[in-house]
Amino acid sequence: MALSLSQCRKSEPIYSSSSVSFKPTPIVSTSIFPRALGIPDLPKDNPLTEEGVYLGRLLFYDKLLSANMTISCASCHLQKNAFAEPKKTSTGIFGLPVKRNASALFNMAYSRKFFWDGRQSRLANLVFEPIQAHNEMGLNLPELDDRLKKSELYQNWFKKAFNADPNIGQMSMAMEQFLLTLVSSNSRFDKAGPSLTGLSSSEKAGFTLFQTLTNLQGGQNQGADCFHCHGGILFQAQNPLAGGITNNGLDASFTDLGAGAITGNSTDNGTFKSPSLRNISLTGPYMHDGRFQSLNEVIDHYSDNIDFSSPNISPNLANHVSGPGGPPEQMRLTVTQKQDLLNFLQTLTDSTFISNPKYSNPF
Amino acid sequence: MKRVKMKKVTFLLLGLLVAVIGCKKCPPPIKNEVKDLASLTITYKPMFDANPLTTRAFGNINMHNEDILVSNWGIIMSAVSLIKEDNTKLKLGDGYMYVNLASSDPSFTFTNIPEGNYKGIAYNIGVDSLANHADPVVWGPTHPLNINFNSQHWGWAGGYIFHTIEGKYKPSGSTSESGFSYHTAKDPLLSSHEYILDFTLSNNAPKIATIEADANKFFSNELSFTNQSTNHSGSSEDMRLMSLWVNNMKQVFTLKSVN
Repeated sequence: MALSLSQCRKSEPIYSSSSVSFKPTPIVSTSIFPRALGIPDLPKDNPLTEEGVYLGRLLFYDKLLSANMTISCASCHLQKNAFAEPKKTSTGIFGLPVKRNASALFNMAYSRKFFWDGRQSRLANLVFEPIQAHNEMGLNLPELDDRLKKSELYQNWFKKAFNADPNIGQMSMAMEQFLLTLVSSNSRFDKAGPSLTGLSSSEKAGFTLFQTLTNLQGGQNQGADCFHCHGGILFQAQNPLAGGITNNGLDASFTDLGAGAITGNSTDNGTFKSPSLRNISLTGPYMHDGRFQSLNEVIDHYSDNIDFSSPNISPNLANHVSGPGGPPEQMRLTVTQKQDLLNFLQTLTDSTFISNPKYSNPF
Repeated sequence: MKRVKMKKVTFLLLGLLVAVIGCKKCPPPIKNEVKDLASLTITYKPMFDANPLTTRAFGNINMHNEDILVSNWGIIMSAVSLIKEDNTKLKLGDGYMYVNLASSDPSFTFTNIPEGNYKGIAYNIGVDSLANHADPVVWGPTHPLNINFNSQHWGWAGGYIFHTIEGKYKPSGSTSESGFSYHTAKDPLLSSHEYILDFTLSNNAPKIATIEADANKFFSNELSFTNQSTNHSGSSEDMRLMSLWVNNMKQVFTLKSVN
C-alpha cells in the first residue's frame, strides 16, 4: 500500500521493499544549506529526514487543513512567487479577507522571527496560526487531528516519518521540516560572485547604490542605503534591533501597529519585519499591507516619499540629512539611479528556486 | 623446595593480578575537574550619567544638549579573559562575546572556568585582523561571529562591525528628530580594555560581573551627533573622529562589581 501510494506522487522519497521498516532517512544539512549562507539555526529536537520533509510538503499543499477543504497553505504561498502571493492581501475560507500581505517563504532556517510583526520564533508553532485563524484556514485542532488520523495517506506517512499515528504535534514538526528546506541562493547575483561577473553596468551601479550610504551633503546623492535593513548574504537584517524589525516611514499614524501590538511598547508601533530582498521581483505587492504594486513604487517611496513624521521611524532613514543638525530629507534618486537599482534588484531572482520540483505540489 | 618456589611464583602472580585489578578499580586520584569549574556572567548596565539609559524614550541629554534615544548598541568582543593573580590571562570560552546593550538582556555567560582568585577582566572590542578577514561562514548559528546572527558583519564588503550604536537625537533647542548611526570597524580601530577588580570564582557560586556603560562618556567637544550623525569608519575624517570615539570607550565602560 505504501509503495503504491508513493508511486502516485511526484518526487517523493523512493523505498526499496526492504526499507519499509519506518526508519526515517536523515538529511545531511550540507546537502540542503549552501555554505555561502552560513550555518543555519536548525531546531535540535526536529532533525530533518527525507520522510519528515515529504510529509511536511504533503501537508503544506493539502486542503484538508482548512475547515471547508478549499484552501491549503500553498493557496496563499505560491512557489512561482517564491511562496508569496501576487495579491495585495490574501483571502481565506469563505472569501474572508486577511489583514496582511502573504510573506514569501524561503531561507527561514536562518531566521528567528516570523510573520510581519515578528511574533513567532519557531516554525513548528507558526503553522498553527493560519490553520486556526477564522479568516484563513479556520480549522480547529481537534478536527484537524481527527482528519489526519482518518487519512490513510497520513497514517502511512506519519509512520514513515515518525513511527507514529497521525497527530498534530508531529504534523507541525513535519511542516517545519519542509519549510526549513526552502532555500534560495542561486540568483544571477549569487552566480556573479564578489566581482559581479556577468552583471551589466547598470546592475553593478544599482548594487553600488544599494550598499552605499546616502550622502545629501553637496552634489547628487550617490547612495540609496538599502543595506542597513536588507544587508548581508540574506539581504535581510536578522537582528530586530539592527533593522530586522523597523519602521520604514510609510505613515504618520498607524492603522496596523505591527510589532507594537505584540510587545505593547509604543516605541514598536508601526514597526514590521524587514523582508529579504532575494526574489523581490517575484513577491509583490509590497509592504505589510501590499500597498505598492510594483518595485518602481517601492523605490519611489524610499527615494521621494518617506514620511519622516512617522513615529519610531528607523534611525537609518532619519539620518539622511543634508547638513549638520538638519532635519531628515528625501534621497531624491535620479531616474537613472532608480532604474539601476531596479535592475540590480532583479538580479536577485532565483529561477531554480521557483522551479525546484522538491518544493512543488505533490498531489 | 619445588613447592616453596611454586608458592613464591603463585604469590607473585597473585600480587601482580591484584595490582592490575587494583589499578583498574582505583585510578590514581585526580582532582574532580567538574567541581573545580565555575561560571561567570558578564552583564552590562547601560547608563547615561548617573541614570539608566532610556532605550524606549528620549531624555538622555549630552554635553551638547542633544537629546538622545539609543535603539541599537551592539558590541563584539574578542580575547575575553580573566586576569590572573600573576597578571597572565585566562581566555574564557573561545574568547568571543556579543552583547546588545539596547536589548532586554545584555549579558553573556562563560562556564568551565577554573576556580581561583582573579584580579580583573580583559577583552578587545572588535576582532583581530585575522578573524576580521577570515571566511566568516564557519561560525555556528549563535556564535558572535556568525554572519546572520547579530547583523554585526558587513556582508559583501567583508569584515565585522566591532561596535554599533544607532538611534535618534534632537539637536540642541530643536524638537525635530534625526537619526544617528556610528559603526566602528576596520583593523586600526580594534581597542583593548582591562578592568581591575579582585574577585574569587568557586564552583558552587556562579558570579555576575556588572559593567556599567555610560553612553554620555562617548561625547567630547568634537564628538556630537549634530556635527556628524553617521560615521561608518569610512573616509579619513570618519576614521579620525571614530578614533576619538574609540578612545572615549575606555571611559564608557567600568567594572562595578563581581558578586
